[in-house]
Amino acid sequence: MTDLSEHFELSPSPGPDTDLGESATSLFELNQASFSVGQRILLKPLTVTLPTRNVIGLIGHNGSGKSTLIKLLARQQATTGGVISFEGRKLEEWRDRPFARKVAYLPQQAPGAPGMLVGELVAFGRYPWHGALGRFGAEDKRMVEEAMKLTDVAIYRDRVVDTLSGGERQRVWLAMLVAQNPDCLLLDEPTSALDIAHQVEVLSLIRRLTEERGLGVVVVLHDVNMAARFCDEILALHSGELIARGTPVEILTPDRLQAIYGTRMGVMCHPDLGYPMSYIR
Amino acid sequence: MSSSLITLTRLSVVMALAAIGLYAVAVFGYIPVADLSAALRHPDPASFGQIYVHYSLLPRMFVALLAGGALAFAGTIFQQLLKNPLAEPSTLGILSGAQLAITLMTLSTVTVSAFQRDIAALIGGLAAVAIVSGLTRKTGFAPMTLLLCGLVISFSAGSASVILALFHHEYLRGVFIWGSGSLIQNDYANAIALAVRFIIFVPVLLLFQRPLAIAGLDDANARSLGLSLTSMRALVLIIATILTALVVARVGVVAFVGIAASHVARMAGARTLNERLLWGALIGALLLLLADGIVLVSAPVIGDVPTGTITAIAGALLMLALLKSVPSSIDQFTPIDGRNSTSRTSGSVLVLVCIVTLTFVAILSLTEQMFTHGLDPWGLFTGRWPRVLTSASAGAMLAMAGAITQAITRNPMASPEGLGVSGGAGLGIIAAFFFGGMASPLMPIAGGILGAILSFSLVLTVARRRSYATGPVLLGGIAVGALATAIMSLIVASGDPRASYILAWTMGPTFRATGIVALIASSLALIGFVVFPLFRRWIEVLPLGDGTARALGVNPRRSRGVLLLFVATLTGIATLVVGPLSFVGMMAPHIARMAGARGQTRIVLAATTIGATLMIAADWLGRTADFPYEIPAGVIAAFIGGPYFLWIIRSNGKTTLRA
Repeated sequence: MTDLSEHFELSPSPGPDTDLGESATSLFELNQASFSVGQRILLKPLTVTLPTRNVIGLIGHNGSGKSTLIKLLARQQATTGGVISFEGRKLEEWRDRPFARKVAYLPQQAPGAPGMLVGELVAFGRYPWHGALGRFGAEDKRMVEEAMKLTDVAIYRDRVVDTLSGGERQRVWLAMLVAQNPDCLLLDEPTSALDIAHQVEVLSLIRRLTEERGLGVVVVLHDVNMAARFCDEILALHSGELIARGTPVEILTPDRLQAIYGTRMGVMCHPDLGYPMSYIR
Repeated sequence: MSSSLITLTRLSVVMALAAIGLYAVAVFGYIPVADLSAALRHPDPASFGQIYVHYSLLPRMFVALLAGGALAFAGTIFQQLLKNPLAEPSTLGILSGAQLAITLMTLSTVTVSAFQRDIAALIGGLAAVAIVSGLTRKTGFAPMTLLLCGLVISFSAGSASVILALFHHEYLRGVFIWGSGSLIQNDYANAIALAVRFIIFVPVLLLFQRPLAIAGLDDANARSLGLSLTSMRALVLIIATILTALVVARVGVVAFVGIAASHVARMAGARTLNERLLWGALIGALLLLLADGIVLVSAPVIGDVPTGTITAIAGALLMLALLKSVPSSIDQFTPIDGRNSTSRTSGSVLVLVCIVTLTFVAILSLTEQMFTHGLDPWGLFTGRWPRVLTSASAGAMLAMAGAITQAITRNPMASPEGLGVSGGAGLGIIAAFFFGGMASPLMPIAGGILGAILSFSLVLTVARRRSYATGPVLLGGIAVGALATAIMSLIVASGDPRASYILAWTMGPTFRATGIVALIASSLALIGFVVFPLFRRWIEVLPLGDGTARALGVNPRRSRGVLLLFVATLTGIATLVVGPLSFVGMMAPHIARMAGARGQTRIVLAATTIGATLMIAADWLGRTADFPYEIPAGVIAAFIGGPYFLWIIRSNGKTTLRA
């Protein structure tokens, strides 16, 4: 078991405050990173740097490569060309658990958790820290409690995960990611199963996490207006290619949206808050 | 795809030529070329060769053609009916049901006429179909559920036949050779009977061609086209079953011709139902002829192998290869036991209750005096402790392996037995017996573990491609199990002197356990128990899926590999003790969950004690049920386990429907 050799990377009680001390300005650096299956190219060679402590939205049409990109960042799939580095080290050089302590990933479809209680699921977030054999200590317990409080799922602690509603379940999985205490969250359409109120709730929570804990977030979003409302920066993909990058104000213009989604769209200002909103013409 | 090169016509011609060539080799081994026409028409009674060709080889050829054609035809109909590319007479339990009925008939009367055999086969086949469809009626004959029930019925009926053979070993070889589908003939009676059946039933079934074509669509579509699916399915199912049973009555169990023929036909370009039915039947006939030709030609070298065994082995391999073509629409079968999840039983209390029960059953088995009045309790104890300890260890190991298997395949129906791991271990042990002799107990253990690892890896590879969907995984496992059974029956039919020992061993003879075996088994079980906590967290994280596991820093491939090795070791050792036929590995984790165990660790712990309890109880039942004769514990466990498995499938089917 090589797990033991991973322990030397474990710094003593790494609370959220110690993470803030890091002065790195970029989380992920992609250099000509690409991904293809057989003859089909899902992501064309992409060179881009993603900064820390920002909420970065990935948008694009179905099959534009947003999920592929986020899976590559999460090491769920290996690039077929080019290099992705995280904190200056190539992804393949990271060992499994040290990487999981830095980067947490939520797949598009949250898997079933048969017969598992909410508290137990959230506690899995501590696996990267205690490993297969380590003790589940006081620190772990504290982080789990904090994560459940932050995501408002402490009241469901003793409920079976599969009996919760879609929105509640999404928050429980987010709680697991928070308990993982990473520097970076990778979320693949975390709001796809949610109604509008829950979408706002989850995205506000993500926003709050970046502000309170200094997390970097990369989030795939279907709804361009939600992306505009909650993201600092938006990356737009089209057919596996990055076609636009910028602040919501820069991305949400009729021409850009036409290029991204291939349909005629207009843009107006939010009457109260002033951020841009799109509508279909 | 390569339809330009392989057409149905060309394929059939090539197959026919190859088969005729093989037969020609066999025929000209007995008579000179010049005598051929005489042998075919008016054999010279003085010439053995001519008589043999006329009265044995020629009818054998007809029988192979007719049986192959009929089975393939019925197979295509079953596949269309159930929208399932793996459906065919053997996977639906019809062949084994008929076989069991005929075996019973053979044993109960002195001479069995052909007519009686037909009746017995009909009763057996229809009973199997009745049970299978009765169990699946609630799900509207959902293809996946139906197929699983059929395979379990087939498995249970098949092992029941084996047990009967075990207790009546004077019939052992005869029953086995017949049951494995020997095509040896000595007159034209079977050929004529099969021809009559073919001529009557095939046109009747062809009448249903149009509703069957519609039944291949979605159920909702078919219903909106005005077709009453349930009654049509039932009617066609019965007619096709009758045809199959009547064929089985004449040729024994010839499995997998149906699957193979219809797939070959489809790949060669048969598209519409009509084409598939007719070409499928032709190719099925030629396939069986080809297989029989191979058997015939190789008989001087490897002995008289039943043709059915060859098709069973080839078919099981084919089934594994075809798993990827099982439509994912039949994977909707997702059993989740969240039923008692809110139960308040605390984990430690549950484990305590299990341990108390285990102790109670063990003491009962060690001290009861039902048939042994007046014997010294100490004497009883010294006689009995090895078997009780052996059973308990084997049960515990199987249950632990089962609980871990269910966790890592995310499949509450999985188990070492259901996934073919036990079967693989059995094959490995047999191989070790044959190649290494029985001098050292280490060889069979190594063989068993190796076999278990190989079969489990095979199933996991298939499973991984289908992202561990329940249906394909189970089918893959069952195919591996079928392969193991086929090879075992091949060995038994071969008449090797070691065969009956192996047969007895596959039944789980805990009564043969000696003190040394018991101590070794229990210490290995104990080691497993001690090692288990190392894997605890992996077992908890892996059921959440590879993605989540990777995101949490668990390397799914490596951790699964280690667990695989662990499960295979446990299964290999347990199989060596109680044989490959028990459902303890599947039952114990289920009972644990139903008793309210929750969380993988507690399930494994509770399941382990429950498994030990079950096995001790099975051993005790086997000892007392037919006193003073011993019924092997593995048989008792399988007899309880088969119906349990069916019941689980049934209740799962119901929850699916509700969901």
